[in-house]
Amino acid sequence: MKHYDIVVIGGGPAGIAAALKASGGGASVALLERDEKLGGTLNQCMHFGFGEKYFGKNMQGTEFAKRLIRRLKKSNVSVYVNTTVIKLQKDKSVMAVCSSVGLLQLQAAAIIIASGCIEKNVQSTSTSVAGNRPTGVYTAGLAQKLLNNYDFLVGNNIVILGSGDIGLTMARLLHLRGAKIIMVTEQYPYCRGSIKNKEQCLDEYNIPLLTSTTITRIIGKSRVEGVYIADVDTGARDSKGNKTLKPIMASERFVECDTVLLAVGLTQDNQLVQQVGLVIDKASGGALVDERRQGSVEGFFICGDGLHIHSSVDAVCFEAEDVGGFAREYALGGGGVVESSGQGVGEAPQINNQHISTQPAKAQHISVKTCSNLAYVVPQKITKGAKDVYIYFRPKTQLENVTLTVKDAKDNILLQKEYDILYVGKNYSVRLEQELIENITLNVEC
Amino acid sequence: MRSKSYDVIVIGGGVVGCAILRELSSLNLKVALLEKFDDVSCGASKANSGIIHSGYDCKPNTLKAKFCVEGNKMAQGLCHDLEVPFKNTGSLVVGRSADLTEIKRLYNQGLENGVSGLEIIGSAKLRELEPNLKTDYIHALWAKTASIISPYMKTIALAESAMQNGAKVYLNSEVVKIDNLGGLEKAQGGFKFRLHTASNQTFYTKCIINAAGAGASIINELAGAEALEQKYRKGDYFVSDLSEKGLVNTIIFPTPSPLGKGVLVLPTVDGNVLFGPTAIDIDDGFDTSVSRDGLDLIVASTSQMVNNINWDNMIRVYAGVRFISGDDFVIEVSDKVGGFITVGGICSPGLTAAYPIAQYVKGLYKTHINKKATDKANFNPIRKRAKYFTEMNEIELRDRIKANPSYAKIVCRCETISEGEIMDAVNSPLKPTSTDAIKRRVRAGMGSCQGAFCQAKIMALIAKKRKVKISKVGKK
Ligand SMILES: Cc1cc2nc3c(=O)[nH]c(=O)nc-3n(C[C@H](O)[C@H](O)[C@H](O)COP(=O)(O)OP(=O)(O)OC[C@H]3O[C@@H](n4cnc5c(N)ncnc54)[C@H](O)[C@@H]3O)c2cc1C
Repeated sequence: MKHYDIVVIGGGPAGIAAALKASGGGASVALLERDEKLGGTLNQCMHFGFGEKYFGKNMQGTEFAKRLIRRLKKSNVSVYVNTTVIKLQKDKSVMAVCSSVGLLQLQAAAIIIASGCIEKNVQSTSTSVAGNRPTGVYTAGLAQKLLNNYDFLVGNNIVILGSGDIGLTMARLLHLRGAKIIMVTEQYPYCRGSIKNKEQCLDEYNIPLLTSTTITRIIGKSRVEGVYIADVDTGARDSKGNKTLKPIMASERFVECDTVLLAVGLTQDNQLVQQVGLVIDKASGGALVDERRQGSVEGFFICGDGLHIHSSVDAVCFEAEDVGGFAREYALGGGGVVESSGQGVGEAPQINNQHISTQPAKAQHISVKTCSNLAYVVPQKITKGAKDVYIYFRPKTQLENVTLTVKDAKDNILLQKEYDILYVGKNYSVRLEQELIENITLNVEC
Repeated sequence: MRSKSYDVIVIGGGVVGCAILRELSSLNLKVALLEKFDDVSCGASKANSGIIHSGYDCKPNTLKAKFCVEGNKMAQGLCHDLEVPFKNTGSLVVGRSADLTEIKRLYNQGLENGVSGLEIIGSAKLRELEPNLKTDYIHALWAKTASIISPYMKTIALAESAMQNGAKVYLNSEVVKIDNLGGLEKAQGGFKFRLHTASNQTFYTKCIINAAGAGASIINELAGAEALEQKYRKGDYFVSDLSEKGLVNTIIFPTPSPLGKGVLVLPTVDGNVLFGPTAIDIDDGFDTSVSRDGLDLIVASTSQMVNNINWDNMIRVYAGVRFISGDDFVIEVSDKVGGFITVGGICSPGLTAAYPIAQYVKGLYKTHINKKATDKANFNPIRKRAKYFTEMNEIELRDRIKANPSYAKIVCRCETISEGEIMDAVNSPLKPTSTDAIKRRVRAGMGSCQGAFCQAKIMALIAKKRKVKISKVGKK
């Protein structure tokens, strides 16, 4: 059994950035990665659009990963690749399988879970696609991996389901590699990805975007032969007031294609979070955390897309750095001040940690509540006495001309912020400077 | 050219065909199976509820009743011999106050069929067994012998066991033409039939056993045997993520109505929750497309029966096709064509009954077709498979990884399946070539992300082994 102050699980950008920060100040850190290569999802991202804020330069995802890995090589973090955690326990013992040593057993004082996200699929009832599942149906990320890492173009005539940034980026990539993108369908009445992406990835190449439209059935026995698409009833709501987005079956029509790309979003990989028994927040879908991204069990920190889906890898890294600092502070047990990365990242800045001291034995928490217009908030609770906390949120649907109001339990308005538009595909943040005494609520009014 | 000639050829690699092949492999015969698809278990045998029924449901004095009850008794031992996942969960037919009469009728029918472990229970016991059941369900027939298995793993295991005992399995071999050499068989060395496949292979055989499922009617026609009428009825399903494990503990049936058996909620051996099947009449027995109406019906009807279903946590939909020929299974030696046995209309509880059906067919063969067939002295009923990663203890894991480090390279993150296990599947007796076939053997790609994460790597591993381009590796 080897001892480390901090064990970081996951060698994507969040894990690397967290490990680098955690390893400062004499702390011993191990980083465990399942794959043979560090870098996580970045390894399949050959396109540009990464690093503007973190490295001050727009670069490919692969380049971003390389730079982080170079830093890691210079650090004294112990890196284990081809290593998968199979047992993580509340006492912070870690058991992993590792191709070079067999069974790896570690004991840590603090754990950082940076396990990333997985692609959603389309079976939940509101979006379920009927018909067949022949060869030729891929999630967008899988198609990207097959193209960039295995040099395999998944099809010639492609329909893409979902207009998030991943769907848009894949439309362009596949188009440039010679495939015909017949259309991108989107069940919402608007594009879910950014306007910039829509212009650069679709409009530029005359790829049609059909909003308020979904795929109802996939047709084909051994290979995809086509899909049925239909208009979506965007007004219909269920008993709880949520949009049902039911297709109007009378409008069903056939579109010939040989490939379907499912780009319906990402969701946290909660396997380890669940294994330890950390409380999960239903709204965010990830672990319930305080402002340091500490979960419901002391000493377990969660960051990156494994906590909530970020808008950019830059935001992931800033957050992860801060989490690395908090974990080190916790592990070493001293009150040593952790320096902040001190860089703002526009709509998604890092958490500023200057004013947060070591957690007292029994910390009291303020809970953060939200209204029905927002999908979630992170963190869901704030340690009493904490100042300068960034609260992230994501709207449930696209909202225009709205005011965000933060109130305390007595309905005093703490902060107001106006937005022309809040995109569904993005997360946003507000900074709370004052010391908070009671529960707070985030309200968005249209 | 008699290189591919057999004493018996079984057509159809479903659970029934594979069970028959395995039974015949215990005789001193040359036997083979021809399957249309790239793997066994691609028909009804992969897309069903996976239930080992207890047998109260079948009409008394039918083959269905007899073989279901027998099959239930044999299931655990067979799954043990073949290393197939099996779990005794028990089943419940749950009813509201008006349903008690029907529940009692089923109970008595069960007793008549010789089913053991039946009990009618009331609200208190019902709540204890199924806390998530809606409170207006106050009566139930509890069938303690009902169990669940992995239907495709059973089918694969039966095929592998048969192969281990000398039988041959030909995949991608759809039978499209059958020449009856009747009368000429002396000149043909005793071979009564010549079979042609869509892949242009030719086979000679002395006996055909038709277990072609949805294709069985066509096979009878091709051979000139008695007409086999089959109707086709599709059943759609939802499968939940493993996170829903524990929603229900047993197999829950609503009380059957004149409209049908209703939609069930049950666990799978892997821990998912299954919702289905529907019953939609269709014309094409090979049409396994999921219907939207079916999905809507599943949501509507099971939501009335069980609380706390999280519909946002479904990971997959699928459909299977039942082939129905009247009220009972059709298992007959042909009068019209010598050396031909029909095994048709094997709808539910065919998965449960497959093994007794196979023993019965072997009996028919020995009494009507080949009285001289003798038992193989060294028949081995035990089929071993490589242990899964998740089944191993720490010492086994350590040793396995030391011997072969690829067992530490986790490829499927949702189900924790290593490269070593995937290669075990790739190298397994039927030499699977598609990602779905790998999934059926080691569960890789069966989890929350449905292969989004691991499929590229699995395709690459298959391609490397087969020395083909990755683009040649399909899902099916
Ligand atoms: C929705 C549903 C739910 C069910 N639930 C249960 C249950 O819970 N418990 C239970 O006991 N039973 C259940 N059943 C019944 C059970 O699944 C079937 O009875 C059983 O799988 C039938 O097996 P089979 O081998 O006869 O058919 P199949 O599995 O369909 O096998 C037939 C095979 O023949 C092949 N074939 C067809 N034509 C040709 C040809 N020309 N040449 C070569 N090969 C050919 C096909 O490709 C196929 O692989 C269910 C069935 C359905 C559809």
